[in-house]
Amino acid sequence: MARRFCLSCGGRYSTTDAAGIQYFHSCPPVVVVRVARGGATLDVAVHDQEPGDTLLGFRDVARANARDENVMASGPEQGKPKHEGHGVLEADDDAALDTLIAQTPAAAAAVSQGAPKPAPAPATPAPAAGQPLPRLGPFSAAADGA
Amino acid sequence: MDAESDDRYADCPGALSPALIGTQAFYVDGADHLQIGVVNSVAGLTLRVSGRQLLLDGTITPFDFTIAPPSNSLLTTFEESLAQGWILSCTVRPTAGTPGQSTTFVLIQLIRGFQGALEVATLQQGFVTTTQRVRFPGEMPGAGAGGPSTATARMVVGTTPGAGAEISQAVPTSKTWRLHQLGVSLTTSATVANRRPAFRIKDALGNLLYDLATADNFAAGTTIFLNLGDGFGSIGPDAAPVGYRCPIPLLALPAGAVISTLTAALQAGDQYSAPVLNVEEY
Repeated sequence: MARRFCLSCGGRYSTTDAAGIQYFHSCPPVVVVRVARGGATLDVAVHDQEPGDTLLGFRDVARANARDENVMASGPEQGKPKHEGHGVLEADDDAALDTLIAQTPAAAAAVSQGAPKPAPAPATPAPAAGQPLPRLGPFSAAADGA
Repeated sequence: MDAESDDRYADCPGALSPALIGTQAFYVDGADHLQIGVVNSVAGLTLRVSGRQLLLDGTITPFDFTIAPPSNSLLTTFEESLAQGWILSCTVRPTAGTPGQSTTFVLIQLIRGFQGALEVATLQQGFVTTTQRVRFPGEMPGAGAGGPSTATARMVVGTTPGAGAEISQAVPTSKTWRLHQLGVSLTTSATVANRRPAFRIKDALGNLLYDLATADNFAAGTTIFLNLGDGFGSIGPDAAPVGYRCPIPLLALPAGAVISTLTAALQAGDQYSAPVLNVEEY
């Protein structure tokens, strides 16, 4: 069972499970947080948060160039992975994978890969004290970045 | 052209062979071929296909070849030419890899032609394991692939996400999962914030089916094990707290459905473990 590091999202996984059954990785979406920063309201990815940001809300959006190893069920691309993304690093075990990651410049950026850049957002009131951080947008496929 | 005037059958000892008495032998001519169809999810699997044929001259000859089906759970076919005569037997067994119950479904078929082949007979179908063959002749089992009665119990270990990322697990192509339990730990960084994870399930098009957040926040510098499962009566922590239970009904999720988390106030240094799912897969 080989170990892989996804260059589209920074995830680690084994190619098969203990029973030998193939595992198909797909990247998670990116969490976007709405923050108040320096008098402005911004939508930023989790990794772009800064100390002093006031959290106003959050949601997830589809990750750009996400990897999806699940195969196409039909059509001319039947049997091929749905999307290669930025590819993977592969090694026999985690120790060898760590070595490979350290030698690969693109690996350092993998975790924040595909996240949107900080962007201005509409003014949003801060949640009342003790209230949970609200989700942004309607609970629809489009708004949730499906 | 009847048998008396057709030179192909004149003085054919094969047709009178005791090898045919009481058998389910299939006669094949030069246009008929053997097709092995496989639906498989085990990596590194090799299947050996072997059998016997009775030729027109009365001799019995074996056939024997190996196939390596992919592990993507899609139907893949392998064709092999046959000699003119009768198929007496065919058996399919694994020679590499470890197919478990319901992971590898095999069809033994006859086709006519190769290009635009016509499927003319299914000789046998069933699941092959390390101790179970798919063989012709034999009684054909009632259940084909893909039904709940052929489910395999699996412990699926998903992807360990990068720091500051959510977990996300999709049901593989051509599979259905009955989700019994998902377990994952969240270790929060030293950054002060009140994290609150939610579990979500969407279909392949992104339509939301299930969305449940924990009733409690998790502070900086803590580790909590989240248990999503059917059978929990209520949402809440255990006494320690070490674990947190989130109830969910037993769901049958088709291919492409996605199980994920969405965490309020997630920080860049927060780390989810690889989720472990107990599912029945078919």
